[in-house]
Amino acid sequence: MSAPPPADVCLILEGTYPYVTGGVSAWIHQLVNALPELRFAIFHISATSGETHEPRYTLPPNVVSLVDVGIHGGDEPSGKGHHAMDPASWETIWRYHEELKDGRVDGLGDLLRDISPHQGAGPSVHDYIYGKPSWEIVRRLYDSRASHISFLDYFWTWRFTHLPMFRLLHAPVPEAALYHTVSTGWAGLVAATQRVRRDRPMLLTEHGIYSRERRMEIDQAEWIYVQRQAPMTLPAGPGFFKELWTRLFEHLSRLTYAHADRIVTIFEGNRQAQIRDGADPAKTLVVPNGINMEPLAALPRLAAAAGEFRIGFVGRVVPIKDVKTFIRAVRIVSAALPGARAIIAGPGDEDPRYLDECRVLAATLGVAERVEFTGRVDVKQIYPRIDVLVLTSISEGLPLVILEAAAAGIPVVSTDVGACRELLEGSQPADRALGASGLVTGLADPGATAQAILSLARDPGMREEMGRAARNRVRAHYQESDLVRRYREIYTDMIGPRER
Amino acid sequence: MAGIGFRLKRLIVEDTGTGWLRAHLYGAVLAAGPWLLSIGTLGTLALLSRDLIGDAAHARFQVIVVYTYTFSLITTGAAHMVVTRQLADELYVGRIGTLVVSYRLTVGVTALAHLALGALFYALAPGLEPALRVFGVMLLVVVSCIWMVMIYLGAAQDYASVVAAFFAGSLVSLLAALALGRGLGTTGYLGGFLLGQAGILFVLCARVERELAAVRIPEAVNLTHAFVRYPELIAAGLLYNAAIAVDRIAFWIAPTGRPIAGWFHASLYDAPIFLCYLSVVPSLAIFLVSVETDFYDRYREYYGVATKHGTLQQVLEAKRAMTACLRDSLRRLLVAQAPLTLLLMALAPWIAAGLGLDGLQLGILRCGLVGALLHVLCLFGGIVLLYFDRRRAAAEVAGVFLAGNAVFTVITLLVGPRSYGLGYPLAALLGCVWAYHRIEQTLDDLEYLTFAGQPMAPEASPVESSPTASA
Repeated sequence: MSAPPPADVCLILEGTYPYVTGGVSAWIHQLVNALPELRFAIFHISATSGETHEPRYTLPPNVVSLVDVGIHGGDEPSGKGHHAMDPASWETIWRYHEELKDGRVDGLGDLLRDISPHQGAGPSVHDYIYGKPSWEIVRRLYDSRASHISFLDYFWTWRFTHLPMFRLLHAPVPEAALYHTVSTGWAGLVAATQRVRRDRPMLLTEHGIYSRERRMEIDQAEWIYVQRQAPMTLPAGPGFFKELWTRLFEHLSRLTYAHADRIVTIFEGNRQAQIRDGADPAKTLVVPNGINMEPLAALPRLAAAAGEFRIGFVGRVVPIKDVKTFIRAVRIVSAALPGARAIIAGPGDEDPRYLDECRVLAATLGVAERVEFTGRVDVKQIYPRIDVLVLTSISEGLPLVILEAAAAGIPVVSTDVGACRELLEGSQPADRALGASGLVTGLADPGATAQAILSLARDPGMREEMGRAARNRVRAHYQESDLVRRYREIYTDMIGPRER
Repeated sequence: MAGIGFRLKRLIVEDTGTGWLRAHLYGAVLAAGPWLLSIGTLGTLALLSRDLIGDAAHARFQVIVVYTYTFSLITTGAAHMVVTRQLADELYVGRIGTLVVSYRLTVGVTALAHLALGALFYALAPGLEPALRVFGVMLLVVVSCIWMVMIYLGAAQDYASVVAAFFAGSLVSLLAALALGRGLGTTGYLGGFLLGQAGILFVLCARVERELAAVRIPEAVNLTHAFVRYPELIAAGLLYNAAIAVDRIAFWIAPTGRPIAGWFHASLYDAPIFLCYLSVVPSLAIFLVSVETDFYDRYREYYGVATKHGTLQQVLEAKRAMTACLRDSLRRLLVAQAPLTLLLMALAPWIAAGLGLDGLQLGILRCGLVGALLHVLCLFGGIVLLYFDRRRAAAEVAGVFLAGNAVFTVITLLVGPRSYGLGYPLAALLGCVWAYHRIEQTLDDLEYLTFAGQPMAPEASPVESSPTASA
């Protein structure tokens, strides 16, 4: 077996392409396919070790290698590392943790130089997890920070949080001219490690804000021990261990921001969030997602029947999209506008119970006749026969449906989440000057959503105008070709031009 | 990801029968009991039979019995601790169904193996009557099966019936041997003795079978996995049982050994050493009680605090209490046993005279009394190590004891009669030192071993990967 040729870009991915489908995976696939002159290596991080995964995408020919590493679960075979942990490096580790407490992450270089200067060097994963030096450090940390808390949980939390780090320290990351991580977190740690060890440039693209997404999960998590004051009382606050997990991911984000040479995100709101979390504003930039607008722009418009007004919802029927608010809004609209009809287009199999609740709600509100659930469907069938697209989501990044509707010339009513306001009202002055392409409402407010729909329904001129602004905005800022061009520029800028 | 060690959970299981690593304590005591009882039976027989049959006939009977006990302990030693542990593992996860299979397999294999071994030995051994050979093979099978059945009786926790069976069986052995020995000499003696021992085995087996009758659905079990998994326990069992025999064997092989019947030898060393073993019976009882009452409570407290969200401070408190308790148990043991040993040493001349021992044997008796005291301390050290699952350390202790006993005994044989008997106490002392050194290390590092010693994931084993184990 010959070694794969060195790659230009090593993508560092966590729980996504090519094993999991979704928005980020689609984005990566699009980007790699669109840059055939670059050789990509993929380093993928899976949650569970010891499993083999089948790629869900056909890898483009310019992907030269694929490595998959599981970080949780399983045990570590006993095996000694190249050298045991040097007592002098204990102090470095201790100092690093003290700095973390103050929010500083620039000690990574010293830390790696002392304990694991290159892949495979230093103590083995088994040494870290079972060895006496680690134990002494954990005890010291516990004594100085957590001596009032359950030691068993502290120790296992340490193991569960650090096993991924130890594994990733030894993981075979492909050689490349540039390390491009598509999230902070564990992938960010790997990229920062390569940045330090190999002294190669590092690029971060963050779609959703990783530390925030993890915090929401941790708040909901039931497997994390929460110490109670007394039996049958509710715990005060999220508890020590949930905070510890949350802090871990905040540290990983800060570490990634500190070591990345450039920090890209998909809309301005996210960029501000990154800066609040410690990213240097000078390194940040926004490269929005893009679509291939021509097929959508070419769709015919099917005229509505007399007096009919068609409201569309496109997306998975899941709680985060708050479909119930949409149905309530339809009920309010239909009271004022007898011709109103709604189409809910999207799969409901992810959360069948929620889908049922939505159907029952529609029936209870007496709008079951007006609301059509299509299930999984080709959106090109939907856009020609709706007059307005409505989003009631309580959380979004940069939703593709708004770009699609815009390309099709359809005005949008959306809640004020993620990039939605930027997408509908524009971000920079020049963008704003294109005019509004939809209306923004508050969250979980059926009345406001209904008012926005009604104002569009009653004003065909405004719909026309917004549809035109929408197309212009997508053409100006959200085209796939723009996205590819921007990344080609960023890559070239960081590693020089590549010719094939 | 609940975050409790898989092994740790077992140490605090609410007491519903057999404790888990406690099984080793019962194993040791249950193995020592019959051994001491049979020494008692032999001794009584020796005293009572002097007038009944000639010395030669009795001596021939006695060497066969002594060899049978000595070597069956070694041949079963390799399996004894592993099967004990395997049973404790299965009971912990509640796989009662495996008992039927593992019990019958263990006893069956033991019987067949010793039948083959005995048949080979007695076919080749010169100078024995045919009937004696047949009884010899049968006694070997019966005795070795008794050692293995005891493991399962420990699990049944019915000690009263075990003790009753042994006393009744020993009495039958005694009376039948006397009755048959009168007319038939050595053959009658051995036949009668065998009858009583076979009776013991029968009662024990019946007792276990009654326990197993409650098991509705037998489950398959792979005993070889246990042997692969616990090689240190194979070593510990084998080395320990060899250690307690090697000094006597050396005296048989050396010029000190008197040929009694073909390959069977006896030596001046046997009688005083057997007497010394009897001197530590009180220690066994004291240790069992004090470990079971005080120490085991502290032990459970320690693991309870460790696994039930205690702070490290609380864990260390509990460790201190447990350590103090362990030292206290040992102190109490010494306080009870040392005066007894000293008293027996003072009375040794009279004891020797009463039993017809000569001056050389009196010296061996005195040495042996000290040796036996150190020997129990060493044994208990090994058991304490097993409580903390320090299997390798326990095997080391047995290994040190064996090596010491072999080397020192050979040296005393070379140096001459005045040093006879010094090997055993020196070896036991060495074993003790090693055991307590390892215990100190274990206790020093206990919290590290307790937490960091836990595997990240359950080991792939038939026991822990079974569906019931994950419940």
